Amino acid sequence: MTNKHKHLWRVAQSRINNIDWELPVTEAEVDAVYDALPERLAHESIQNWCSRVLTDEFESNSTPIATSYITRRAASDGKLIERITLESDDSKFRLSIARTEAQIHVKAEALGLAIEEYAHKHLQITCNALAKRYKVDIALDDMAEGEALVAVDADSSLLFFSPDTRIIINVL
Amino acid sequence: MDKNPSTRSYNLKTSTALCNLSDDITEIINTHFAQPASNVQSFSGNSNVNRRQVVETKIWLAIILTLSKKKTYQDNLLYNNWRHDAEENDKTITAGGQTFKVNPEAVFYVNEVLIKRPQLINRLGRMPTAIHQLLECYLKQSWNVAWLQSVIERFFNRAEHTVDMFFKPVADSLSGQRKKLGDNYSKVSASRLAEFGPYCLTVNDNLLYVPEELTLADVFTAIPAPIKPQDFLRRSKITGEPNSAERLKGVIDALNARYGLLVSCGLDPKKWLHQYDDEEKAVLKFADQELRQLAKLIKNVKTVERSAFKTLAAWDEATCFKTTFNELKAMPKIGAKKPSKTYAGFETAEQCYQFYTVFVKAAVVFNDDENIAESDNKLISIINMSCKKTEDIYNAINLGESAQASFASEPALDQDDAETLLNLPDVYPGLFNPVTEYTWKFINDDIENAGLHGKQALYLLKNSDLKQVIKAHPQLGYAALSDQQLLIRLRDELVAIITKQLAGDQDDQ
Repeated sequence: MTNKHKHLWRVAQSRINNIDWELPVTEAEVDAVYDALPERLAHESIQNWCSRVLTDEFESNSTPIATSYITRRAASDGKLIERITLESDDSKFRLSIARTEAQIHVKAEALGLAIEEYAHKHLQITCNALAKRYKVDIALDDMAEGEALVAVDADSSLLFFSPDTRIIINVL
Repeated sequence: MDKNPSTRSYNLKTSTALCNLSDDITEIINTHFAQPASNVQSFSGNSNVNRRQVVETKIWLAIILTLSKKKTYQDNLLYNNWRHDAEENDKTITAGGQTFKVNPEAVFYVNEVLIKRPQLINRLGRMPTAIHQLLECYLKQSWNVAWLQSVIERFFNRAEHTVDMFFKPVADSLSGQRKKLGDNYSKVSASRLAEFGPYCLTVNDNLLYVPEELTLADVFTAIPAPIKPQDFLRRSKITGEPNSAERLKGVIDALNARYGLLVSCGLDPKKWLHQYDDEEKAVLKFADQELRQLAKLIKNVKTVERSAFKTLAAWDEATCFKTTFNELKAMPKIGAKKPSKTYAGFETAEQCYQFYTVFVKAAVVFNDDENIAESDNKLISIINMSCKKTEDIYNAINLGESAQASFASEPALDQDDAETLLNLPDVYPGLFNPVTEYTWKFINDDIENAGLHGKQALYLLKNSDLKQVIKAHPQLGYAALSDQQLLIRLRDELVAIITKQLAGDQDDQ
């Protein structure tokens, strides 16, 4: 082989090595993965969503930085409550809850000084009876407000409409 | 030549990976925001805020899946902690009957590098930043021709006004980002703002204040979809206005700078990415300049080590490390009369070597559940440079030598050589079959325009007659392969042909 050819074989080798031979992820694949993942919450930053749904770190690091409670003692009169506003015992959060036929709309707002403290934080709302299997995630915006729509079922009704439930609001 | 001090340290592999990433992201942007002229009317990307959020979420998801899937990113871009089997750390997602891997480092890279808010540096004066220029570039790519007049410049005493409907969605998006940013921008931005006024996006009679600092996510949110399909990086010398992929590459270079330096030093970006902060002097952190010095030190030590290994000369790492440290520290910086008191953030060679053994080598070598003998063996193998990945890390920096141009990677061939290269299959007909010959010619033909060099092999499938050639020769068995299997087989066959030729040549000698 001539030196010239040898040089050219090496050039070709470098070209082949520099080509990206792997096919990109297709749009259909991205759609399928997206559909398999929990939804991005309203006001949730893309970083928080990625950490929450694509890594195990979020769950393992999710020790709340603060916890508030809503303790209700009023007895039920048996009527179906459709709309209720609750304030946490420490006056840091207000929950406005409205039930339609199939969904419950939950709006969370931080109050007073908590607004600045909790803007852009992530809330998990649950109660002791449900903690292991059911919680509602809400991402707070720059005004420390956020909302979620959840399906009406036994768990969500117990959490938001049972007067005996002590609601736990974890700030992550 | 790449004059950007933050990028010139990368070697070719890193630069190629960043080029690939720019092309991959451009392809993802095309998938979600671009439409061919024939289909513009049917696209309603901007009409629904929720749909827009879904699209943007999918864009970042696609970037993470791409970084997790392609080996080039695992090998040449992302920090690879080989103490643990990387596969074990991957999160798997089953969807549509397939299993997808999500590499936690890819998520970290997107969250902490690609979506990081780059801050203005001094030398820009009143010029828009690279990321503002990228935004302007995307705006001009809209199918709505009015956006062609987009200009982002700093102006004093101009009032915001939205006259045209087409301007409103982008104005709303950028205003929201500006409100969110508030005054949380760097001191340099604040002084430029005071000196030259805010960045103003002007499109005909419309004017809007643009946030002082933008993230890539902010830019994607403001893209006025549908845009025209975006071209990819040109591998030849760029003339005229850079296209969006080239602008994007510049932004990615800047965003990647500190991460790349840490990887080059063998330091885990998760622990060391955050910038040196005056208020945290008690905590050991590095400024970028110190990282460059540390990388140069490690590279120099490894060069001496390699040469000692080749010549079987006596070698003592601690002595070599400390001597090299003292030599580099004694050199005054350019423009300074005296050498500085520290090098790479350390006053003495002993302190620096101690750091190196604990945080660089120990992090590379020791596994929690390994006994000392096993660890020692690993350490020896690394010192002997039989550990390829370690070699790659130390080679991943090219400080002190001439800067690498971002795109060039080989000496230019003259016309004759280019033609001879193209026609090598005719000179060695027994080596090639019709399919490998066709692929060879596609790769090496007209390198500045249509060639595959440095690009994605996807174009071979999309833009060539390869499938027809395969169909014409069913006996070769290519037709039954999936696209990915086909590409890998073609690559392996071409590599085998070349390796055989070069090995045969050595045998002859």
